[in-house]
Amino acid sequence: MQTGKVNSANIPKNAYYASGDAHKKLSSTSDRIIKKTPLTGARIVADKLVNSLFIYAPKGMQGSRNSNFYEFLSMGLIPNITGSAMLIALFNAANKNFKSPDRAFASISGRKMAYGVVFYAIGKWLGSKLINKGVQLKTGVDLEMPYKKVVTELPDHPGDKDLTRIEYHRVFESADFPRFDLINKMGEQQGNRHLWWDKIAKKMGFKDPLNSPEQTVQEKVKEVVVKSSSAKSISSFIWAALGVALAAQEPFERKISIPISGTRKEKALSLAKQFATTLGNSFVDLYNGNNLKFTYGSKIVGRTIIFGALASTILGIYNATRGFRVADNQPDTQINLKKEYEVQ
Amino acid sequence: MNNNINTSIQSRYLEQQLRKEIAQQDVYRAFVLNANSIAPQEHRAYLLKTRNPVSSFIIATADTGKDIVELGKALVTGKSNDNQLGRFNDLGMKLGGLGIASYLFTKRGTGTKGIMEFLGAGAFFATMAAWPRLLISEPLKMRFGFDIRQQYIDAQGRKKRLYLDNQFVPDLYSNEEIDKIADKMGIDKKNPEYRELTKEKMRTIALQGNTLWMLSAGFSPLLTSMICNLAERGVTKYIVNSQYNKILKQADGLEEIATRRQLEKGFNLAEAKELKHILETRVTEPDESFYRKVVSILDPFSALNNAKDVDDANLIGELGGIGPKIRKQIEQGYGALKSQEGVSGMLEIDKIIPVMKKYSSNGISDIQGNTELNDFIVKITRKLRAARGEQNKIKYITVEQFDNMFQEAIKGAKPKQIERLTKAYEETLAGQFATPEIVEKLCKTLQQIYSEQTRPISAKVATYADFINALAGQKYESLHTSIHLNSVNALMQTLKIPYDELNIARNSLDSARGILQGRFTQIASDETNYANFISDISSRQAKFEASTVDKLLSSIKEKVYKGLISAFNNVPEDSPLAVLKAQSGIDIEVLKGLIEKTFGVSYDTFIKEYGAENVTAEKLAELLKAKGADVDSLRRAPMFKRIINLFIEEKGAGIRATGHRYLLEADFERRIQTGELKNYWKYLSGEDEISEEVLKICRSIIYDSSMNDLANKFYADGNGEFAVKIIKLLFGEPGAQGEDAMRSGLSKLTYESCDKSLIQKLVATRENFYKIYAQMADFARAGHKIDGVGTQALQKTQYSMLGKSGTELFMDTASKMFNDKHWMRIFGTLTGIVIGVTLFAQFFFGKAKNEHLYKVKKENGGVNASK
Repeated sequence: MQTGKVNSANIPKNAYYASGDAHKKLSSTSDRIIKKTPLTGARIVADKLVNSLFIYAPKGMQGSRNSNFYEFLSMGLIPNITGSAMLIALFNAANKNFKSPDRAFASISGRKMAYGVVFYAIGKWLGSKLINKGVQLKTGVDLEMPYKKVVTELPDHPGDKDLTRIEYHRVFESADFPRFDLINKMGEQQGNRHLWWDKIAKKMGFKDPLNSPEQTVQEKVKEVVVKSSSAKSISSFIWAALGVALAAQEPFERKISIPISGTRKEKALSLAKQFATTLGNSFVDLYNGNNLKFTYGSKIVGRTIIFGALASTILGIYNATRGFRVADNQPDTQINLKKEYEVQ
Repeated sequence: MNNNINTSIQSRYLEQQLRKEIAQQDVYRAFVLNANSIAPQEHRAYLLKTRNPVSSFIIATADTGKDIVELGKALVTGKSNDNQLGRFNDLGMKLGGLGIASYLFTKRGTGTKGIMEFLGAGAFFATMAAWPRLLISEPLKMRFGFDIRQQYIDAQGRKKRLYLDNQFVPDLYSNEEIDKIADKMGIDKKNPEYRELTKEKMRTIALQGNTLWMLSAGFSPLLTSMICNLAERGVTKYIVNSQYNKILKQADGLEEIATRRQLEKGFNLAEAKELKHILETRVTEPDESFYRKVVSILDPFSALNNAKDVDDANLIGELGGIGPKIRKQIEQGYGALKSQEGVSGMLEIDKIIPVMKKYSSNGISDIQGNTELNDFIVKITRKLRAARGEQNKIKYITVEQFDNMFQEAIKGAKPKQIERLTKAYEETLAGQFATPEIVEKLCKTLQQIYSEQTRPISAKVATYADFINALAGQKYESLHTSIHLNSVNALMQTLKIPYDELNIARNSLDSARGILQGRFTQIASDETNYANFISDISSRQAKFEASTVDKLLSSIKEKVYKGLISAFNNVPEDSPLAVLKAQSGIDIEVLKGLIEKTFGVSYDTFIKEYGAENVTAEKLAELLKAKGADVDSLRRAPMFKRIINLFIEEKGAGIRATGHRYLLEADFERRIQTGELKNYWKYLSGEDEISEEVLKICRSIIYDSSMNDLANKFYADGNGEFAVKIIKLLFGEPGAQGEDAMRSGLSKLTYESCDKSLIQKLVATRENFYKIYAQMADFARAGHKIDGVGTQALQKTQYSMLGKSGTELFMDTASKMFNDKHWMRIFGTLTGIVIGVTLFAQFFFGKAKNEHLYKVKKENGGVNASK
């Protein structure tokens, strides 16, 4: 972030400016967009999980006034994890005490269930990730843009002093109230409150910077947010279904084993290779259908899931970004967006 | 002088001032006067009433429909709200779940497993929804009088949960409702702020409940799997029942299925179309390999001989030996064809001259250097060479051509020479071949037979074989298997073996027998216990045999038999396949009776009309059929009858014997307890006590022996007299009289408590066992047939009559039961713990902090200004 050293000569006329120090102080005590690194997402999830277990859950169980909806949603991670573990355990935990050949048969379905649970999660994540990335590529709007929220609580006990808490939200998590103010603030810290808006406006097809870009851009961004999150809620589950269907294929019945000999790198490589082969074979099997009772049906449903997943992503991205480039078919309005009007 | 202008200006200014002031005062007065009457508009949100589960399910379905519409709108317009977007996520989850279940359904080979996928998905969603209700909100509602999952409709008409956001709880309960809840919570109503306190407590409880939900919801798969575990038994039962009905229904539609199946590849052999091709290059008589090929094509059963299923092979294997008969028919047919067409053969040129030379070089004239003969050879050779054409391309000539050549060459020869040469001529003609035309004609006829007769028959037999397999095959989930498994499991459950013993029993046959025997001994030692046990088991077995085994198998038997016979109706008498028809004859006496009914004349009159000598059963049948009489239903095919009887009886025998063995094992232990066995042994051998050695042998026969043991003659081989005694001791000698019979029977208590309808069958099974063991030495000889119980039983059926070894059965069942119990021990306990903890945690709910603050009436508003 570029703070502190702002040359007043470089500041555009329409930006309003506060000193770098003031911003620095402000940003540590109030909400702000944080920089995204590849691990940001994972770190936020880890933060939420740890807090859920050790802070949010005890608070909720005590009936605290300060428990809020964010904490409730964050705690949603807990049943996801315990539930997955439960499903895997139900199909695996008892098997080791079975006698052969029951054990072998039981562990086949156990293995499949474990893969199924993991692939479900991966599929679901991938489904929404693909749409996010596609939308970002076409519109420049990062739907996952994270921000840090500073929450001040009521004192639970007399003499409570540390009343601020940090929450991690996404700027566009609410379609009703996206935090556009934080986007402005982010721009201001870099000396131009229109910085982000200009970028999006350019994607919308405006060649020159607009005078008041947020007025034009905000409406479209809201539309993109609603459309893409609607599409994600369907697409991600189709991808999840694809994950489960892949795990249900015959190649995953076999154990993927770590080779006995070789260096660590060779072992890892062989493991990855085995996994890739298994996944590839499963995909082919899913596409071609099985030769059990419902050969034709499995082929149809299998292909529907594969193409449904792809189509839901492509159509989702297409639909969300459809009509985003307004500048191309903008009729001549009486308001010149580029002209500065004086308010009397 | 008055400044009027000024005055007027001033007065106007004053007036303005005054008016302004009045207006301001008016506004102020209006505000002051109405201060108490101006209030925010009444909110339009309201609480939803609690509904019964049925209507809430219908409404939930309707809501899902609405969500789909809303989703479409959102995708098109890009306008929606957070609440709705949240609902889309639930919608996606449901659709995804349905997709997964549909796919997994298609992955399952059997009906039960397929249905379980949907049940599983359904149960998963159901428990996800039921968990917070059953374990959290309902108990809390009972205790505190309000639902923490209460829904309301907000001012925009959106359905939401009241306590979803702890920091935004709309104040929608009426005072009366709050009063009721306060009563239930036991809040002191003298407290001036008791309503506020009640609301605060409600909020606290709701938050605690929601948090507990999040903490425990991950365990809901436990409940799902418990439900599925129970459901699977029901589903299996349901599937077996529906299969049972389906099979009965299917039996009527088999003809249609068979007709449709004719189009399948297996019944349209490509080879059948290439029959001509096989011969084309040879122009010879049909040879050995041709016949072999043709028979394999025409035999309706050979198409099925390669069937993968063992049971198919069993059924069809019995029909072997038809091939040679068909071949004979084809050969005869070909002979008839040749004579009918008149032979017009071909001769091979290279073979003619050696024959001619052979005859011409014989005799005296040859020694004298007779030129006429050589002249003949020269002539005929020249003619033959000419017939060969350029580059000796032609190798064959017709008989006529040869005839002409011969007649020309022989001109001017002496009578003696002619006599000799005629012999050569005849020998040459003997080597002639059939013309391609006649072979082609043969092939055409055979092809016609294939497509008109073999195809329908094989399709039909295949259809019926499939049907029998679905009913009684060895495949998993054939009806027979499912029924058998169900009954066996039910029997095993009556033993009520505890977990630890199952754990031992599943490990080896020895330990399994130890446990089983111990359990039987224990039951047998107590009189009432034993009587109850026997009556329970025997009535179960009797009911099972009567309702399922006998009824089902016999109802099917007749249908299949009729269907198979009808397959040969369209085979004409002159077809090579008529040999099969001969297998399905009609009793001529029956037909004679039908004559009067159909023709309206007595049989004798009828005979006079048609001539008495020519009347055969088939001829009569044909005449009757032409008149429209239903002759085919009268056909009887002993071959089929025997096959089907055996096939089905074998299945039934196995099922029955397995159950009976179970009873006999218990009876054996009872006889030891009562001393009946000891007395009989004394009578048989003269020994006072039964040695452990004898008991051991007895037990290994009654508990362990299997069909395989029999094939190896078990222990009896070479044991002579001793073995016979043991067998008598165990099963009693059939047909024994007097004291022998009295001593050798079942235990007295067994007779008394056993189901009356079963006792005869049980005795029959014992007799069968006796026979099998007594004749064991002969029995192991392959192909040897002996008398079963009242039927001409094949070796296989006799084997089946032994049933499955009790020990083996027990070990298998114990292993399965152990797996179930072990799983249940882990997860049943865990489910119990989780449910217990979830419920227990709720005892600590509803303790509001800072309760003391509500005891003082505040001057301005409630305690929580933020609310």
